[in-house]
Amino acid sequence: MEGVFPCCPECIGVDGRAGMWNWKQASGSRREGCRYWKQAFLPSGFGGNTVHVLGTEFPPLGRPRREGCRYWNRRIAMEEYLRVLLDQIHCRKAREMVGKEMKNHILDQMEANQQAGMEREQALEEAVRDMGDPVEAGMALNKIHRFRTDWRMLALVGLVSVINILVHIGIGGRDASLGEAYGLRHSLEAMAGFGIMLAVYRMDYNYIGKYAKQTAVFFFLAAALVSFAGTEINGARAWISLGVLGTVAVADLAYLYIPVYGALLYRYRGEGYRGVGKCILWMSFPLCVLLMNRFSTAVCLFFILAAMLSVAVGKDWFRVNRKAALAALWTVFGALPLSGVVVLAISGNYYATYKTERIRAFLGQESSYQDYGRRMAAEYWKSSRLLGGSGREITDLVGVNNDYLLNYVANYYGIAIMLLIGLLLFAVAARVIHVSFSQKNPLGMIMGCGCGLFLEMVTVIAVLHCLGLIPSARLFLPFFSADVGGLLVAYVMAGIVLSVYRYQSVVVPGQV
Amino acid sequence: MDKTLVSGSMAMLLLKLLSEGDKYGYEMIETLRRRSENVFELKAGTLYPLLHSMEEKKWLDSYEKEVAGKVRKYYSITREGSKALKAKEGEWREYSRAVLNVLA
Repeated sequence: MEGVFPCCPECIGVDGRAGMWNWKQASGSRREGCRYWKQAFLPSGFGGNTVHVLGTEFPPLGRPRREGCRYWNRRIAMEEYLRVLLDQIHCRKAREMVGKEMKNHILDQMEANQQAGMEREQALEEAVRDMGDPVEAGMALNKIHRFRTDWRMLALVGLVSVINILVHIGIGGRDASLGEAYGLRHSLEAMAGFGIMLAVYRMDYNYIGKYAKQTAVFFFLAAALVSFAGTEINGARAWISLGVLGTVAVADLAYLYIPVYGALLYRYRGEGYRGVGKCILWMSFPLCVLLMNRFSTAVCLFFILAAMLSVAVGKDWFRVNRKAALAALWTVFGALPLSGVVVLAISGNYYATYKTERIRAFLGQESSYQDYGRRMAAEYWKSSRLLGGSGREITDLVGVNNDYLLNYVANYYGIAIMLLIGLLLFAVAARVIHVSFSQKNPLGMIMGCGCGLFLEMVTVIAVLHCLGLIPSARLFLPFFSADVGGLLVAYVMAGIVLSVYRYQSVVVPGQV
Repeated sequence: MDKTLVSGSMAMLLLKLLSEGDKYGYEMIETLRRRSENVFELKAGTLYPLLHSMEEKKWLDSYEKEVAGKVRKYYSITREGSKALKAKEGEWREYSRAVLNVLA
């Protein structure tokens, strides 16, 4: 049957469901005694130049007419119309969407023509003629349905990456303990990150939507595995050892759950309170991060997921009483999980002593924890000049290439440069949020929204941390910190948002 | 009728139709033809690029709905679309009044 097109319209039954081109559907509706059935138009020798319409391969034009087939011209007219129109559209995914709509229009018009008294074949022919010029229509549609590149965002991330490389070359030159090849190694990591971002940007983000549950389960399993079998450093089991390649902080990769959670929210749309309940259950992922003893990561992640769920409820995705649902959610979000974590931390001796003491200090309780890092960060910040180095060497802050990177920049290059980096990062986050909220595809909107919230949140925390306004904690500055996990998260998220922008005009919601 | 007279205002006419309720492509062509007493006979090849470009501008939203065994793509007007319609209607009334004044 491969390549065989039944050519009798009565068998095919052009009725709006089984178009003439859909021989698979047509093959189930053979009219008894039909002499056209299984007559091959295209037995062999017509390779090349085929076109796919709605998942069906059309043979090339110009093949010989089967002798005596009185339907040949009628069929070819419609095939040809669609082929010519869709040939003008370069994006394959858009062709599918447009082809479906055009096919339905032809069938509607054909039905109307039949009701006006025309024979089926004539009705179809007239319907195709009424469609107008396929080349003109196809070219106009091609201008609309094409891949798009957010050059502004690409330029912003590119600029951030270049500054990042320059800053780390500077750090490598000053701090001999980082090793001679530090600057080069970090540059390669940043360039690899940029390359990964471009690769993600080329991928269709809708696949995350399609495999949301599977991906989420993978995250849960991976987090559980790391929390039991990972390498423990400073009381946190959040690293994995890769032998000669060193130790990688995988806990930061937990942030990649954010776009996956967006896809889960999209999946449960319209399911009412049951859907909200399921989404709350999927919000339990930060608990797995807590198992790794990464308190700050778990808290950040929890609030971002909560904000995403609130956006989904606010946009009426679940068809529930929005005000009541939001009020209930935030009462629960604000009270129960945090108090539970704090109680666990303080009274349950679950965390390392210094962490428990740090949480006590953060809550204003009596604590033996001396936040040396915070005090020093504030001191270095105060002694920094607006432009140029302060003349003071940073000797007592651990992690100037990571947690205290902004302090390093302010101290050696000036506050203006530090502010420039901060502003650039806010600009990237703002662009991400703008692109996300201007999406008509809700999946792209919620995934991008989560990524934007994340970038915004970690940048704000890093700036406050640099100013010594919040207690020192494990964090990273997106696109900047010399933390492979953090670097990867930032670039992957930027790639996802670029992919959302790229596919906005060629994919309808739910299409993969 | 001269086609250039129609083409400039077609977006406004489609927005007007959709402001009265959601419609699919063929339905819009038929409604437009009927209400204009066969003056506006829009080709599908003209209609769909226009609808898709208005969707890009976020003047329209679309969704699929099954009616009588057929899955059709329906278009609905958005808040931005309603604003655009109001603006275009104002421009059109001003323009037609000016033309009528000159012809009078």
